[in-house]
Amino acid sequence: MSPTFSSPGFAAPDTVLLVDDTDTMRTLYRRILEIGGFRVVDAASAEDALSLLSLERPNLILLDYMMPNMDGPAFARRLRAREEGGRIPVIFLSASASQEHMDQSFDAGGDDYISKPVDPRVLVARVKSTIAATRERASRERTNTVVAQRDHLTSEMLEGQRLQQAQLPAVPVRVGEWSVNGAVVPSGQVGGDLFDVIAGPDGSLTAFAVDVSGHGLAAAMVAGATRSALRLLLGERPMAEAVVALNQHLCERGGGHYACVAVLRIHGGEVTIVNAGLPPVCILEGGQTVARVSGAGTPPGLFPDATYEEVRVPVGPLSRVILMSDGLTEPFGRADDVEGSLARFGFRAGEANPDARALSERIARVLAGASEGPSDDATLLIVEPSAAVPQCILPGALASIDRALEWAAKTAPGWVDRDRLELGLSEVLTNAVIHGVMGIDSSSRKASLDTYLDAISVKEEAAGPEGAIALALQADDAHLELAVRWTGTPCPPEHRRTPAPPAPNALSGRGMSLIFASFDNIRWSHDGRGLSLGLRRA
Amino acid sequence: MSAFPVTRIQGASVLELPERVSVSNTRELLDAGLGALASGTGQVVLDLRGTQTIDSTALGAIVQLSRNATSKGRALVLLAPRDGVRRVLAITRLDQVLPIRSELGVPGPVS
Repeated sequence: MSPTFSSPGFAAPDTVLLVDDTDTMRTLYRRILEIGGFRVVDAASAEDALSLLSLERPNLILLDYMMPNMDGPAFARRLRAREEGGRIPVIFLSASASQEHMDQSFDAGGDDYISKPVDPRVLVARVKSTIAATRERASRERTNTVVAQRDHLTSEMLEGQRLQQAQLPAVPVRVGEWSVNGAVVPSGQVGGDLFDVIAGPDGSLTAFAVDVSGHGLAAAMVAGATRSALRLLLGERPMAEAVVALNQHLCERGGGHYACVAVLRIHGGEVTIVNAGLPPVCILEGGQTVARVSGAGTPPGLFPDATYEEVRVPVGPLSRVILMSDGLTEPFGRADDVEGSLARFGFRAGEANPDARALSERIARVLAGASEGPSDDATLLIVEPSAAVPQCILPGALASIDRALEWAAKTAPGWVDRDRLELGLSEVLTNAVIHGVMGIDSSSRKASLDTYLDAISVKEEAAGPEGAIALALQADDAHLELAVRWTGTPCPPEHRRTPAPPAPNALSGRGMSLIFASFDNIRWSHDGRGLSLGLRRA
Repeated sequence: MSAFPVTRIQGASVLELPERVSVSNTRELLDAGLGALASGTGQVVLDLRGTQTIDSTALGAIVQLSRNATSKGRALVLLAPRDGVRRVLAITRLDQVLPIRSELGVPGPVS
């Protein structure tokens, strides 16, 4: 007998396939189910039902247990063996209430078993509940699949982040007298930030940061390629030319990505910086900004004819060079406010280097509280003297000398004679301020402690609250380095005077004479902000 | 409605950019900008008066639009970027290569 179909009068009802070899039973169940709101498809044999399933996918099969040729359990087993893309629930109908029939029905893959005679309300209720349970199970399985796929993607992303972090140099990196600390804090996905450090054969330290536009694997790959290209280029040509070549390389490469880059190199008492699209590179001394080096050209990869320039700034034992990507500044609404971001992270001058993990955690904690929230990778590089240099900030002219001497006496190593240190320190302070900062010619005005006090009073008054003397002392078994730096506006070059050469002469005070008598090697350097004095004994 | 509505003002096609322009809506920015460059004449103006933040992907798209405009003999102009956006443009030196205007004339009918 061919299967017959009925069409209910409303849209998309659940479909029940009714399989029963007795015409009267099919008519009865069809009527009950249609009244219950179902669309009904029926078949007079298991064989017909199997054929019908190639055309129809019912929501449920209502299956007579006893049928000629292929009975209900045999049909159910065939059905389960060929099911693809989801399981159709089956309810057995049987005139028998025997446990054996029930067991066979469930063993064959049945979901429910109803004994005849059937209460119409019970039949409709159990068909509905079985369809609902099947639908819920399918939904749960789909959800589990989505969750599993999401977990897989998350796992892949975390692996990508780990790979990205693994490509960063282990910090702190020490090159000569300088140390580089840094961290890249990902925004939550693989991104295009990185940094690298190169120790030059001439003792120089080169560090750079790269921030590639966009996110994801593509940005990370461009960042990696940019680092490789930049390392190569920096090894074979001057910094600005290297960035020009990088720009041309990225422009030719295409792909829609560009890279904000800043490169710095420290060598021989100065840092050379090329900034191409990152927030200003800041040089701090005693917690004060003494120089900001802003971008000198558009980010590499945008305009093939862009040019870049190198900026040189003197650095000394008190200097700290800060380089950061805009992921650390923009969340606070000011893309160029490097100092503000640095203050938010709580990095103080003279603070011992936090390890990379502590650095990352501190950054992530602050970024989480930003109004915009972290939306971009964030990179921070701190370059500073390799030892944590003890520092003393001396505001106020009259208190300065006493505080400096008290501090130096506590800080200096045991081999340094206290009296000589005091005299040497006075000499350095005096010379630093008078010659290095004030531009006072000692031939016309005798350099003395009184002159220093006068000079620094004038200087502080002119500079306002940001002016202060920062004093640093660094020592090992035979070497003592004293650095005196003015944190306010530097003395204009035209007013600077060359300080007395490092040898006693007629104009040298008692302090210098004692210093020369006590040390075998004496070196000093000066600029518009102060003076560093290096003393070494044999 | 497009996230980047285009109006014709004094012969220019003006795209009004939303508060945030980022990787999430850069595609729409490009589509709207390229559409304006393909269909109209005169300047294409990116109205940044209401834009608070702009990310690196969006900056790249603006440069791409600028190049496209140049290749068609037209100009892409940035209108009155706010302080935050202006800082980003300064850091990247794009304020030196992309024309920036502070004002626009009275709006006219959409062509």
